[in-house]
Amino acid sequence: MPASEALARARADAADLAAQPARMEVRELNAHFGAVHAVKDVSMPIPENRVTAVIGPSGCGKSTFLRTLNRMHETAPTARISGTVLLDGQDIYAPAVDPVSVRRHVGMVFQRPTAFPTKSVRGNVAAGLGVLRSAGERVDVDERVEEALRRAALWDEVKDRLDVSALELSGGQQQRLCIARALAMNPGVLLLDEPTASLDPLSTEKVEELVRQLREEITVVMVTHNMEQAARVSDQTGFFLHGELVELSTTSLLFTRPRDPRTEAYITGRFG
Amino acid sequence: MRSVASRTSFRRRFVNGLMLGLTYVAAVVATLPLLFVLVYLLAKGVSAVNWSYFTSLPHPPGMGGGGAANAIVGTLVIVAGASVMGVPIGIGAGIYLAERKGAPLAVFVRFLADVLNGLPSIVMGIFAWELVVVPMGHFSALAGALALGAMMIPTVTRTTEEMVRVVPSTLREAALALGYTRWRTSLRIVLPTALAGIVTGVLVALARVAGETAPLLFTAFGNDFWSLSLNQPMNALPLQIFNYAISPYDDWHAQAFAGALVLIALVLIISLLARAATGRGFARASE
Repeated sequence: MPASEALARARADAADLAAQPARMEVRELNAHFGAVHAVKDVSMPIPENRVTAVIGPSGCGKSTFLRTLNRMHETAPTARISGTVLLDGQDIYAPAVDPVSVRRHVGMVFQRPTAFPTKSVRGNVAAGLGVLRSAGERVDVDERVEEALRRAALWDEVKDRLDVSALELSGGQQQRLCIARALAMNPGVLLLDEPTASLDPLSTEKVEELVRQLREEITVVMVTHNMEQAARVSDQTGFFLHGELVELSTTSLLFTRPRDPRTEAYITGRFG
Repeated sequence: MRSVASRTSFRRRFVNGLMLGLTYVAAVVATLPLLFVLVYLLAKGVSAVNWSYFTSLPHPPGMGGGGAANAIVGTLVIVAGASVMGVPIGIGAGIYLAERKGAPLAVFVRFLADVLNGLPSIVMGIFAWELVVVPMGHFSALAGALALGAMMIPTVTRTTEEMVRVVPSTLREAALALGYTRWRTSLRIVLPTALAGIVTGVLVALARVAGETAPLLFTAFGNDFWSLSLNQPMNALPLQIFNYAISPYDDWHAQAFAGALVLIALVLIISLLARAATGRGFARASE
């Protein structure tokens, strides 16, 4: 692709991003673990129905940042947080907000598949629905399970094995099962914490394909170690270093015209 | 050079073989006492185990016949009662210890559980006697169940703690991230995952107290007649074995051996049943 064409594409991407309303908005966020200042003064908009990638070297605070977006950070014993995280305009750290209900609206998938070993495939996808039902919501479990598995591109592979133990699925299938489990809750935002770190290349490709498909219907924030992955699936990318958000930019721009020398050093492989 | 190498290699293989042999011998020796007990009990007890042993009440000495129907049922009732008291408390305490590892109260409770575990069983009998028998004014199955239930608590607590701790923290996080509350996570995700191990712990505790005699001596006391009332003295196999064994009558001695055999079989059957029930630790998806 000639340079001018790439630039034109990047400009178009930037315009598209700018046109999206922010589903979440992070303002001056700080997160600590005991004495460790893991996330420093981060502000970032998270555009609706787009994929935001967060990259950076190990220990740069990107996972901690992700965990502040659904109030999972505070489940660690010495965690502290200050700042504002807006979800649809409402501060999820406001005193009246129940962290448990935040997590029902902001789903999360982890590095390694976390299928519940005592539950079947169906039981795993339905695991969160019981929570909704006890909260008084009317839920058609079978319908929601099928819908979630279809959205996670897993239905065809497991539709005849819904009642087998989730552990009988392959690692890649288990990871997509976890994505289905999160999707079954109909969250507005999905957080992915290095979702392909433990997967083989083929399964990785399937998960990436899935993220691209989800893009139009759900807001995704994905932490990844893999810069090519960020370039392949995301619309905007944030680069973290030592807890700071060094640069946030349209993905096609960040990887072709980084503004900050530290970003350039990282994406060209000079450290990390 | 070459000869040196082969000599070291020979020495290494010899030591390896020797050590392997020693562990093999140790493993065999470790199982010998159990084998001897079983063989001895079979030899001495089988002749007295017959249909009437399971269906009749004890007969006076010299009369012949008679059985231990009330003692078998009594043991089942008392152990069931003990489980009802000990298992929920033990599991609850174990979950608490695992989830709140470092809290001062947890450290204290863990220490107490270990002390309780080492407490002589006769002391547990005195405890139940003081707590139930004295106020009620008479011996009762309830007092026996309480003594045995208290003995089950520390074993169940500590195994539950261990089993809950080995459940990966990533599963807990996954549940929390789905919008589970902490207690729901413990109850719906962590506990079922740890269940097989916990059941084993409960069985160990159960098997141990099923054979206890001392805590029952002045609580359940024993009874030569049918009684299913928790409020009344009740017979139990260990009690009957004890009473028959110290008696001067040959037919009672034979029945004591029979009782020991039945007791072991009972514990074995309970273990096998519970293992079969949880062996496929795979719960049907209920929601």
